[in-house]
Amino acid sequence: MTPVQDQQRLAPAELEARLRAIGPERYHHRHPFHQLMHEGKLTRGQLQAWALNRYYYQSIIPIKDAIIVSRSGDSAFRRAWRKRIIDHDGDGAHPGGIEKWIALAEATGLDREQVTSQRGILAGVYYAVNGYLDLADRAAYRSAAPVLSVVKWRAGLFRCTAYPSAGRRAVRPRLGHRTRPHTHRAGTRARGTARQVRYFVGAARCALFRICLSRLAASRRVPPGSGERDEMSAMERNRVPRLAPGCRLNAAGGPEDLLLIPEGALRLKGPARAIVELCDGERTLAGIVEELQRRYTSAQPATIETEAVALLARLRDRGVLEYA
Amino acid sequence: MKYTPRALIAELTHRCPLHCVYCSNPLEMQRRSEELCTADWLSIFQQAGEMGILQLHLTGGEPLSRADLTELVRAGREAQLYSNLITSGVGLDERRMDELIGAGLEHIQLSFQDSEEVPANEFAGTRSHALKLRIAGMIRERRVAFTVNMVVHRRNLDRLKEMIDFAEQTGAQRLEIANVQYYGWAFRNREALLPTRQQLEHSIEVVEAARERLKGKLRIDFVFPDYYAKYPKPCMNGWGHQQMLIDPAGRVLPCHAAMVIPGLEFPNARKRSLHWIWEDSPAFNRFRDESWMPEPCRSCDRRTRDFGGCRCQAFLLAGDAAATDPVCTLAPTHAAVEEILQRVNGGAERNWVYRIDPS
Repeated sequence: MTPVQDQQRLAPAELEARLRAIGPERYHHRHPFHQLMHEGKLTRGQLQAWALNRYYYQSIIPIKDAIIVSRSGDSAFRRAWRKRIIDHDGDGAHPGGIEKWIALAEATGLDREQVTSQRGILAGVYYAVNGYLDLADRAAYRSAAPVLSVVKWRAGLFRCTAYPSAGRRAVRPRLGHRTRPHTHRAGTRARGTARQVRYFVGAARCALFRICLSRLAASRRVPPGSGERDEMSAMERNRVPRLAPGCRLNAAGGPEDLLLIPEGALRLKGPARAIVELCDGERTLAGIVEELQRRYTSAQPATIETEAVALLARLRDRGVLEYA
Repeated sequence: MKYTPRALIAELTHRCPLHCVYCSNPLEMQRRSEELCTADWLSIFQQAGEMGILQLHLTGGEPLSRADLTELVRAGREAQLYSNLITSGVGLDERRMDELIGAGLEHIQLSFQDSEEVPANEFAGTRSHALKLRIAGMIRERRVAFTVNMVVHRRNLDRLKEMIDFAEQTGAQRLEIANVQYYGWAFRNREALLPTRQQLEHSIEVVEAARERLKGKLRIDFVFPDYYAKYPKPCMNGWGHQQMLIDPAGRVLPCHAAMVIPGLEFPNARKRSLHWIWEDSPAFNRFRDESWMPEPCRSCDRRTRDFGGCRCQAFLLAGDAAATDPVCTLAPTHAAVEEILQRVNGGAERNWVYRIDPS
């Protein structure tokens, strides 16, 4: 994709061609994680991680659409666009698309409360998704709005052989929601003739794709297929860590905190002892992180999660920690 | 400089049902009648805990030869020590294993002499391999850390790959591949036991490949035969720096081989407190800092890393415990090691001599 330069003046047809070219080139179906998903090569935990993080993205779509509606001076556009919000949120009588994303996540083995609580979303995903909202918020140019909701590539998103069958059913009807936004592309085309708009939409779309990719990169973590331990994911959140046989903490209150292991000892610094103490064979990883977030109120919850998970991963690597 | 002891090696007895050709116990072993009694060891563990010692290595000989082992393990645990049992497995059964674990035993290091029964029994001088296999199964079924120790040397190093596969199948979490260290009885048999350079190089490749393959499943430690090293090993992490060893008769030493060094008097734990022995005894202070070091150690950048190597080896190979460890390629006496290696790499295989058990 060649970035849209200020000097360039694109004919409407060329603008459209450029816009359309971004999808095949940069859309997330090109991402290695998605490719593995399509090939059915993800572990269950990785798929859960994807569903959990993807849900967070889906959950802000109506907020984004509401921002767009709020920027438009065109009542016909607003009326049409409002439907998107209903599509996602439902109308009270009928569930919307978000509900189906929850069903999908449930089909991977997560529970609803866990998904909607948004706990355990990767920091990178928060950043990217919130960046998407910021982008919508800053998109003062009303006519750029449709660009942000360009139709997703069905193949890229939904052809996933690794889904449990219930998940597949849960997802399919979702495709129906995608028909309406297509109608707005005419609008995009019409508005896209203005020069500034052409520059803007190109830049905005690129930014959007960067955000989408960063979201994926965040959920990707260790290359998939390298074993079960790359799942900080939802799956891992439900695991119950405990010290491996022959590993224990030294007596509390001594001059130093040590984790005694066969023929050696690991020195624990700062809150490491507290973290290891919580690995009692009863708490889940999610429960441990929650407890730490409750105790250490002055630290960023996301930081606590990242650091606790990293410490426990290192201990697992060392063979000191196992899952009950 | 203040040194805090971290590990206590308790050589509970020199009695052993095995007669390994590479036995690390000293040439002159302690008799049963000389052994410390239960109460002596209990007092020692208590003192060790108070001194901040973390690890207790229960070894021998065969520590299971002590009928009071469970009691000793319990005392170690009460003194906040982490108990490791270094054993051949001979003398273990389900009931005794449960007793030991119940008393606080946390880690069992089970030795194997080979992956194959015939040579294993030959190296051990005892038919013990089949029993060890059963013991491994019992350990795996229990919540206790499990290390397999595989002793390697010239006569089995070519089978290292098979031995690693064997260790993997025992279900151990850790594998220690220990090239024989040439002290005690092993020193006497060293020319029959030292691997050739070619064997050693090949074995390193095997270990590296296995580490990669077994990452996260089986942790592999490799003890190098230091005669082939460029620089000496940091023996015991420094004389009197972190570890102390008590022999069956109560003599307290900085390492298991130190008895060979003439002119040092090693205090007995029956008569002196461990604290005094650690802090003040001449034996523990003899090679503790750098003042004893000759050149090239004294001006060598590596002196804080390898502490001049092993004092016992310096005595065994150069006749002077205060010499630079002769395995160091910078040592003036290094030719002695080269000479041995030349014989090992050029000559025919030699036979070894078996040792007998102390009465």
